[in-house]
Amino acid sequence: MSDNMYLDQQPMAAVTFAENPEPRCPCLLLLDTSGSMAGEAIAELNAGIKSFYTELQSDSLAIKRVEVALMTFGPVRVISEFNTAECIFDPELVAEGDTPIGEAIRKGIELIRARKEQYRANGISFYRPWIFLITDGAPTDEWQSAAALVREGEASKSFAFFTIGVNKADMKVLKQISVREPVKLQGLKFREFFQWLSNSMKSASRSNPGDRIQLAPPLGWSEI
Amino acid sequence: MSWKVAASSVTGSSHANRGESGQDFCRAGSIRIADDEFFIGLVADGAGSTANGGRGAELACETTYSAIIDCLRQDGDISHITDEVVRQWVTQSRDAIAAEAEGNGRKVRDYACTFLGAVAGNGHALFFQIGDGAIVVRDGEDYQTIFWPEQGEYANTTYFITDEAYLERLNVLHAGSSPEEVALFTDGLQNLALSFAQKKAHAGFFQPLFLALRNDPASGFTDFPGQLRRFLLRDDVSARSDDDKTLVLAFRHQG
Repeated sequence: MSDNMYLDQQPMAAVTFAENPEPRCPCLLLLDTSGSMAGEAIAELNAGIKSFYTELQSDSLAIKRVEVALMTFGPVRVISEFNTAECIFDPELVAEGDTPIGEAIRKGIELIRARKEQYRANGISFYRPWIFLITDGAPTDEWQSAAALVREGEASKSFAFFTIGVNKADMKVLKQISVREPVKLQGLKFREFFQWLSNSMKSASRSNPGDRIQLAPPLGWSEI
Repeated sequence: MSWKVAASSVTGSSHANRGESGQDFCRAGSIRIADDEFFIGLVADGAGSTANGGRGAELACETTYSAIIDCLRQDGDISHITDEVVRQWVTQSRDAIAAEAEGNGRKVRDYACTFLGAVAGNGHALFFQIGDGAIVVRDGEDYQTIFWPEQGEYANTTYFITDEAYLERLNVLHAGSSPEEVALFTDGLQNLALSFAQKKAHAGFFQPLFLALRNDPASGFTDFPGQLRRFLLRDDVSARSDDDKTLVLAFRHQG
């Protein structure tokens, strides 16, 4: 009798759940740290990145799912490999050098490819990676082959590639690099941009099979 | 031989928070033909990005459920059901979806849904699946998946009955024995019920559920579907998945 009572009330209490790794939502930032970014621009960019990490950390799901990698140019450097926002990160980027956008894109795409391989090897599912290129200038190196890689990657849905122009960025070249329409940053509103990006990543990292991931319109930070 | 069947479908918090209704659907039951009783279980998950995925899921389940009953009434032997017949069931369901889409001036893909089915009885069983979610059967003390959930390259992509190449995505499996326990579920339960690292069903999930179903008196005095529903809405379940969740359980017993 008591057994039956127990079963009536709590028949499914003993169910345990499989432990699975969280699906990952990778985002690569390709950041221009050429000489022309010196001063207020680089300071605002640093502040924006810092707030980006803080925002992701405040979201219980995003902190486990969103992985950010940082690359700067030039010279091209990996500042941070793909990592969740669990560790506080203060990049303190310094403006120096030229603008090797072509090399940065090629190395960035390679970083994404390698990360996907690691996910697959470990049975971790993932969302389509996002790449954001942010620059205030024009390429100082060969960029046509990089643009071809971007077109290929977009066509095969290997990643989504976005470009943001700052100040006197060469929007015409950016348009030739990215399949998607480049967006011009309003003044130095890096913080607003990163706020928008963290919101977009939070919602993308929540999507389920069959959901379409859509970016919110770039309001509050772009010249649109 | 007869079947005890329980099914429940709940709306995930990701839909509920947006004031949307759930997009999952299921149809499960048993039918007695001559001396045999057959279990039929169907589940479908309407794509979150579509307006009518939930309706697509309902049409897929209802159309195929009727087709299976007609088929068994004509010939109560699962071993006579060919792959071609299964393709016809699925095509009929897709046609029903396409007809309603056209009538409403919409596209077929607006009704996108996954589709999973199981038919068991008379010492045979038949399983089919398009997309993610899974069918799990008891195998001795262990549980095994019939097909592994078919996902696209990314975590938010899968295949649907409304795809152009839906017949290429359709998996069919015939079994020469009838399982004692069968579970069908949509992807909302995938991360709790399956271990992706080991690529196998998590026995700790299924054992207690089937034990509860087995021990549930057939008198009808206990509200087993209600208990199943409360389980699917439990906080520790929702914490692991905010998607819609559908679970069908069937247990075969003597008598």
